[in-house]
Amino acid sequence: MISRGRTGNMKMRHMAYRNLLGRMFRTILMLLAVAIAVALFVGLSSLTEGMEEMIGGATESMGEWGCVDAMGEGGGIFYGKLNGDVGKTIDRIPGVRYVVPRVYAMTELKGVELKRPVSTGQISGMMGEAGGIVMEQMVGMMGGTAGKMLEGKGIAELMNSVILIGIDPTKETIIQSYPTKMIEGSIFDSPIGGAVIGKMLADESGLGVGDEVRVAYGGKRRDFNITGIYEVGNPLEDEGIVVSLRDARDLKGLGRSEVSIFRVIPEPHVETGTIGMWIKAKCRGVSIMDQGALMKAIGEQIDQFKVYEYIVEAIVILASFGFILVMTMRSIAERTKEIGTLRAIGWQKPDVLRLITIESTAIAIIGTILGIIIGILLPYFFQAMMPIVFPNMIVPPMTELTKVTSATIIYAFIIGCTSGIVGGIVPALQASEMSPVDAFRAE
Amino acid sequence: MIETRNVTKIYKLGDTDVIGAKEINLKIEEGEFLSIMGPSGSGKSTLLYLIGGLDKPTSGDVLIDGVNIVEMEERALCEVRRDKIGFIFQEFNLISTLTAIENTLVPLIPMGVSADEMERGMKLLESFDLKDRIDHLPGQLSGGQQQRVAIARALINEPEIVLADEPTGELDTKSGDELIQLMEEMNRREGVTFIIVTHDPVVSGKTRRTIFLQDGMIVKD
Ligand SMILES: Nc1ncnc2c1ncn2[C@@H]1O[C@H](COP(=O)(O)OP(=O)(O)OP(=O)(O)O)[C@@H](O)[C@H]1O
Ligand SMILES: [Mg+2]
Repeated sequence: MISRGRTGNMKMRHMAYRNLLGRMFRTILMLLAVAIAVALFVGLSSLTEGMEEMIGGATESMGEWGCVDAMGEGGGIFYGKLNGDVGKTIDRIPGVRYVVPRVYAMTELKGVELKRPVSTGQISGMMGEAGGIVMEQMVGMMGGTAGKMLEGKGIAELMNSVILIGIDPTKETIIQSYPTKMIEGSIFDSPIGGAVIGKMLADESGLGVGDEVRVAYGGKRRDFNITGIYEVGNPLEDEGIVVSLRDARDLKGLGRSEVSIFRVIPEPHVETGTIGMWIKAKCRGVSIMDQGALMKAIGEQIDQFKVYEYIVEAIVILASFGFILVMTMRSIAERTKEIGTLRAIGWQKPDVLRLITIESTAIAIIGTILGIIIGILLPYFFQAMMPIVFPNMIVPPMTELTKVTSATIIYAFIIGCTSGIVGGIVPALQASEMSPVDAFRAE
Repeated sequence: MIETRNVTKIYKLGDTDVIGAKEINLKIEEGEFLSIMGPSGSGKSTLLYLIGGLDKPTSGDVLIDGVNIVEMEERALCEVRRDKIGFIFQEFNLISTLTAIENTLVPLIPMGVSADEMERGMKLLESFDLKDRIDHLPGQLSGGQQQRVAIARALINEPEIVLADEPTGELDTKSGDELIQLMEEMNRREGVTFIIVTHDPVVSGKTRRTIFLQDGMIVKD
């Protein structure tokens, strides 16, 4: 039954809704056109935002200075080793500000079940091109044999692996690394048996400050007391466990002065590349990982990715705009006779326009909201569906990789609503300009 | 009262001119019940549209109650159509998504429908034997029922003139008869002028005056 409202708008709106409901199939198609475009936009945007944040975090975690990592040739950060003398040699190179020793080990946590969607290495794997370079560099860092060893490991084993980093807290404090990034508890003060863990690891393992954790490397096992949780913003490190140099050497079976790498911080205004060349010249059997250059390369990859993203987004928006336009034009063509009839029985042009504007605004707004919801849920959907569709694949942590910002939502609203409304009004303008007689003959 | 003075309508189709109406001079008094006949293409619809202000003549004047609608601008013309004229079409031209009562009230929707107008719409449908059908969509109605809804829509604004372009063209004989009877009744009771374009001699036989057209000209009145 018709509602008995008395305002012109009430009736118009009523008629608009009847038109939308009465032509359900077309309405759903138009809603989908808007929703799909908006969902793709939201999905793509939040993926770039998320990746940008992650890379931003990684760059930041390296401190304000660029740095060069020196490591044993062929072994990468996990399987190579350097003697303490190398550190001393590097320290004497002009332009070197700090030399920070670190020990890296791929360990396993015993008696802990890690609830993680993927190991750190694969995070970058799913990031496409930008991820490709990270992966490449990581394998490079780990060295050829190490890379093969990792590959040889089963996925389950890999999934339970945790990067252990042995540090000298005093030196790390100077370069504003882990000790200055504590979000809970504090850095261990005894060189034996203390550990801090990354926030991601804490989340995945359920471990917290005060807990004991057993770390295994090869046949060795050691217990650590967790004194704090850090967050540097880089998942590679935030999924790790940090202990003293001494404990790490002990676990790995390294000699008194041996380390995995020396992180070298140059004096301000000294290029990391220059330092790298110096190290190469002065020390034998040392390979160089120029972190500054790596980050720059990753940044460039991200920019590249963003260009692709903008292109894809532009295509998506244009395509949806075109689709909406075609859909409305078709529907207007279908409705030409109807519009002619309305004009014949005394509807003014603006009346016709008002009706169609209400219709397309409703479609635009509902479609946009639908699209935003779908776009936000898309990563969750992928995460839930992937194991079902590809049981043997490691599921990337889509929900952690994406970040929905308010800017994305606002842009999505603007794009969805304008394309929906403009797409509706343009053909409506055309149709209302037609003389009723022409409209009748247009069949 | 309707008066046409030397009304000529020429359609341009590329280089050729097609004559839709040629020097039509007509006077139709208030309350007339009139039919227009003629072969296909003789200009019946053209004349009807010109009288109804849906189209403008190439030359000549159309006066409704002494006002020349040819000189009117679109907006005012629209109001004339809304307030003084009702249209009925061969194919009913109902809005397929709206119910019978809603279709009846469509001309009023831009201004908003009052309770009184609503009441009037109901009464119209009732008097057209559509009481049980007010909430039905056009697709759920027979052709005769749809055309009766169309008449209710044409009458909702209490127009002086109703223009019908082959209103029985899509109907069987019985529904057609009923429809013409209905129009006749409205003409008699309310004094509404009816101008009915038809091919059917039976229909024109029921009107009091018949105009014959050929090649855009009046050949018999
Ligand atoms: N928009 C137009 N453009 C060109 N020619 C037109 C147009 N409208 C009508 N005509 C021509 O004008 C003439 C009269 O047409 P009209 O539709 O008035 O005839 P009619 O008597 O209503 O015919 P029918 O009985 O078939 O409905 C015809 O020759 C037609 O082809
Ligand atoms: Mg005709």
